[in-house]
Amino acid sequence: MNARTVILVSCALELSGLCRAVAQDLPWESRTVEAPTHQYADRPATCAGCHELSVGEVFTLEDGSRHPVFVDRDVLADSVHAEKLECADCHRNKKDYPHASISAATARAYRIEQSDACNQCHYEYYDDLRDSMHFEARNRADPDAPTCVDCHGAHDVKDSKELRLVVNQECAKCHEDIAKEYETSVHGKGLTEGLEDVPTCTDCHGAHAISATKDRAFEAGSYLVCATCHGDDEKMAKYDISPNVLKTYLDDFHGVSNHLYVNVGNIPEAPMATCGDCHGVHDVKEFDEEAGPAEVRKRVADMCRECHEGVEDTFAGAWLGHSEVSLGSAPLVWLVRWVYILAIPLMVLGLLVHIGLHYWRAGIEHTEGTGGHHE
Amino acid sequence: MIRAKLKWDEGGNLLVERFSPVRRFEHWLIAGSFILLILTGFPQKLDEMVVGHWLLTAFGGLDNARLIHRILGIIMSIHGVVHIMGWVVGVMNKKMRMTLLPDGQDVRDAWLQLQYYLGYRKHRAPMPKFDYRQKFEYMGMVLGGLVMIFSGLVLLYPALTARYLPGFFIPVAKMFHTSEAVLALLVLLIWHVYGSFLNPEVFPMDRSMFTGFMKVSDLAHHHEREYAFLFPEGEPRDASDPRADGMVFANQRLSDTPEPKGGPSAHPTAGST
Repeated sequence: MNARTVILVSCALELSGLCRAVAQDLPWESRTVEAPTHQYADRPATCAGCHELSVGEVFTLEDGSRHPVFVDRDVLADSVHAEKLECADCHRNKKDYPHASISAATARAYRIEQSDACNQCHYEYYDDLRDSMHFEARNRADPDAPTCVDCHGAHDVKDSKELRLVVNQECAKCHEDIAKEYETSVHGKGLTEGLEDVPTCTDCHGAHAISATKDRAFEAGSYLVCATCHGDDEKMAKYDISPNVLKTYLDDFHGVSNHLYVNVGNIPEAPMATCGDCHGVHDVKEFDEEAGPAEVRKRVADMCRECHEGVEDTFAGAWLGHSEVSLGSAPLVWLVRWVYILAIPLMVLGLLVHIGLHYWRAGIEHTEGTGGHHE
Repeated sequence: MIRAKLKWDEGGNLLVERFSPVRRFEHWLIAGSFILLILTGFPQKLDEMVVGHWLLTAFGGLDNARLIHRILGIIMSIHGVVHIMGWVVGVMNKKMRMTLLPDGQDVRDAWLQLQYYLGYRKHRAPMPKFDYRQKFEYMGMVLGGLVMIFSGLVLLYPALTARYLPGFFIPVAKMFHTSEAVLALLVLLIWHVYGSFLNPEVFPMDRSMFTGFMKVSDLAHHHEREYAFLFPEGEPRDASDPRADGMVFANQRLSDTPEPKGGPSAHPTAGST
């Protein structure tokens, strides 16, 4: 029964004088039950009739935990579902009174048991969720695996557009260490300052189809996550960040490799350096303008040694940085490139001219019958 | 010193050996490696090219393609070393004529050939065993090969490189490796297809790399100086002919096969040097 039907039915009931008016009220007041026989029998026979009473009624679960049955009218009114759903749309087994008893032993178990309530309407997100590592955790019967309401709220479920700014706090409920790391990062500081473009957790990880990050395939493609913003010239210009970072990465051996792993669709045998390996992931730092070239080189060499064990500091010179090859930045590379840029077409042209002249001469001799080559 | 290996074909034509079995083996080894190196290498250079993604999939993914590329590169490098050692040993034993080594005459030949193409000379310059075009291709292979070997080694062992050289040698080597590959591929596509297939002198195809031999009459036409060197007195009629001195015969001419058509006197340009 959807909300509109409920309202229509309720209106009919009201006209018949059996029930309170509901059209301007919350749907939770619309459902009538058989007149309760308990001490609240004088209350209206709706969900709100009992559940908005803040009188300390609780129910007790098998594990002994006690849970108030009170539902705050204002919280419900603030939620995105306020005008749309009635209680029993989600609490499907509470349609009738007296309510069926709760079989779940713990509050957590109850929440997990109820977690498929949302997919009646939001099936596409549920479908995405099934691809996520959170769902894998749920399949492992991990009680901490998040359900919809863990992130979105239950009675207070918010518009997901508002959620973006508070979503980090939702993630932090479980991923506390990472949340702290993030707060120290250039992105985290930006969020605190109110910059609208900085990525929150879900901008990089996705919201529903959150993939496992320890996966080689994810690592190989992780540069694409950074590229969504750092490959966006307009967005980068706003913050005076070099727009070349993606291109220069993709010109480098590591970038080419990851680009191909992603496009060919195979899993790398060994991890290949990607943005986060040098810049950090959750603790991503701003490029330190203060550090001198020697210091920067030293730091790059340390990054190299994370994978290339025991290489000399000079090894860092192999990385040309995120600036385009130029006479100033990498003179020898620039020179070799230009030698070939000039030599290749000249060579091809020379060979084609030679071949062309040969055919021309052969053609003339063929016409004149003087054949210098053949009898 | 053996000057040449000769044999007769079924039509009674005298043939002269152009590529010994060892040289033919080298050619096909290089050809096979080269093609596979191109197929495994270019998808890495042109990484946006969808055909390249298919190729990498066909080779079992990027890591496999790289493994194949490196093994072939090493095989080609070892071959290169053995080949150049062959020069040294051959020249020291005086058993090898450096018929593929360019010299000043090749520059003059190219100049004369240009004049001939443009109509300033009536005849082509007489050519040696391998003309300037063939020497160009061979030397391109040798020099280009050396560029590929050394830059490839730097890329295969970057950490070792950085121990002895500044780190920027690694991107320099990468620039050499990918650029030289483009040059080599284009030169080979254009020049080898021309030299061995589309050149009117050999059209539709020069089969000597399959058979190892070429007709002496073709030698007389297109490699006049080599003809004059091998047959200053004319072609031998059989192994007992005094003109066969220094020649090895792979077979005897069958008595009922006709005489070879035309002798050196039939070729106006032959023996002119």
